Amino acid sequence: MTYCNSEQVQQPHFADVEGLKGETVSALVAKQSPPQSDNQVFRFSQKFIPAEGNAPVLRLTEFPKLIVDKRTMEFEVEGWGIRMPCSEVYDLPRRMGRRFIELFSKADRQEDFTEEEEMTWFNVVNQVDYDRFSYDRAAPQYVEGTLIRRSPHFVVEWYDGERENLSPTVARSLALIETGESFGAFVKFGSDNQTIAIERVTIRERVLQA
Amino acid sequence: MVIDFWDVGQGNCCVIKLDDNSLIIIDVGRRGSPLVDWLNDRPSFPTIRTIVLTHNDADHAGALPAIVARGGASIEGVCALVDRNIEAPAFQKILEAVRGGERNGFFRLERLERNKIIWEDAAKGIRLIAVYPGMLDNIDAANPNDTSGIICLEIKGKTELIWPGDVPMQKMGESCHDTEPYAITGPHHGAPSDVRTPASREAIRAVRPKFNFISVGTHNSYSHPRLRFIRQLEVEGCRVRCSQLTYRCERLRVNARDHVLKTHGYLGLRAPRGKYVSCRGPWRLTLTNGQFVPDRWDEEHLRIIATLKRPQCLLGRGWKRGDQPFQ
Repeated sequence: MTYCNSEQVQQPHFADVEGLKGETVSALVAKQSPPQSDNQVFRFSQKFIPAEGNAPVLRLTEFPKLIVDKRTMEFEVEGWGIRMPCSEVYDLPRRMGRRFIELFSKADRQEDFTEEEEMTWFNVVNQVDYDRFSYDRAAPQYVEGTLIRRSPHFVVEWYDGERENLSPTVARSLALIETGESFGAFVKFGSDNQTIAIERVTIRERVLQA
Repeated sequence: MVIDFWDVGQGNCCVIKLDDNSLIIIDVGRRGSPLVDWLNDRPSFPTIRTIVLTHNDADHAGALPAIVARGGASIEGVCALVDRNIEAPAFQKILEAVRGGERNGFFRLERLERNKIIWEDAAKGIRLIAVYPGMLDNIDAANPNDTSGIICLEIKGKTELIWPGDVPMQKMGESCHDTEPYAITGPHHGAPSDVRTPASREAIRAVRPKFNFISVGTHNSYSHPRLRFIRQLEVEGCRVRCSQLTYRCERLRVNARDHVLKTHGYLGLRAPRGKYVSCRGPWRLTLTNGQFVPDRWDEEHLRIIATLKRPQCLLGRGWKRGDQPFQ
């Protein structure tokens, strides 16, 4: 944990929202932010939180801020709605992972959030790499393709006409497929729709001559 | 009824969740669509009343094999067009999976055609109907986009939502004139083929939509959406919501991959793959007492896009930098 002066921590700045109907979520969040004058603010220097065992990992976009209440020796994680005794700081990653999964599950089931939960979820999503969590968590998808070339790299043409050079590690799964053969497989896609794993391969039909 | 207009990058996808938790899907997005990730994450695969493909381009139908392979008997029907040479390999592959499903008796494959009622709840007076193309439109079309299906959601006889696929605005104007729907999507990711002709503006005046959700990818190579089209819509009083940010609105933010809103997360949906920058992200409408209510991120979205360098949707409605954004 890194100590930093509470006065150095900048207050969030929110634009004037008078022209809008009702209040925006960020304005509500600003209202609910705890007063920091009597508190000490620490930075928890860990950006990777295990979300389901070890994978997928929840990647934070910034270090969590811990606001310590000197009177009770409890701290609150800014924006996460977590309050716990300072003596249990070792358990913080687990608590943050749990909080994330708790709110994610609720959003995923399209259950109604309370006002407070909605604000917390808004903050949490803004503080994590949600895109990365989405891909890491995703199950493999069924696709079909044709093996175009085996050397020097494996090249596959997917059914939508897109061609992809497979990395040697990924291509190992297609070792039994001949050039020109059409196959179906469950493919795990990475961040840019590139193939990062192929499993459960089945041979479809031969469409090109080797 | 909850309607999620998904952000699938450069592609289209919309999910209608009915009151019994079954789904109707209109376009599924491209291969690797986040919709498939979301469906795979359900503990039991939800009943899908029907999957409607406005046309068979890869960005609208590419994820179909993945959904069919996983869904099997949970899918009751697939509604699609024959809009291109059936010998084309990509078309063959996309429909092969569906043909397999029908042969196994899992679901029926039906032709999308004018006046086909895709789904109906007679008690509530809600129905999903195709209003385009007719048989001749389908035969005469110069390319698959021209014969794209136009799907309408009608509530008590009034058209409230329109999914026009990639159809030219003129066709939409002819098929949906005087409907004044709550929202439309696209068409053609905000770049209908006739956007440079007077027919485009005339069609907007004829249809008079309140909102347009444009599903577009940040780094698409087709210059979608067209600024001219966004301005035509905004001038006619139609409020534009683009799923992703493009260079035209702000280059720095795109380069920094700084999302305007992470709506996928807020709504519990899945993020699209690719180096995209979300603007409005997905858009959720809830039907309450016969009225559509959008999710609560519209105001937040307006507040943030008012800080962009050239927000095309706001500029189109006469907004100037430093002004308060308005609905």
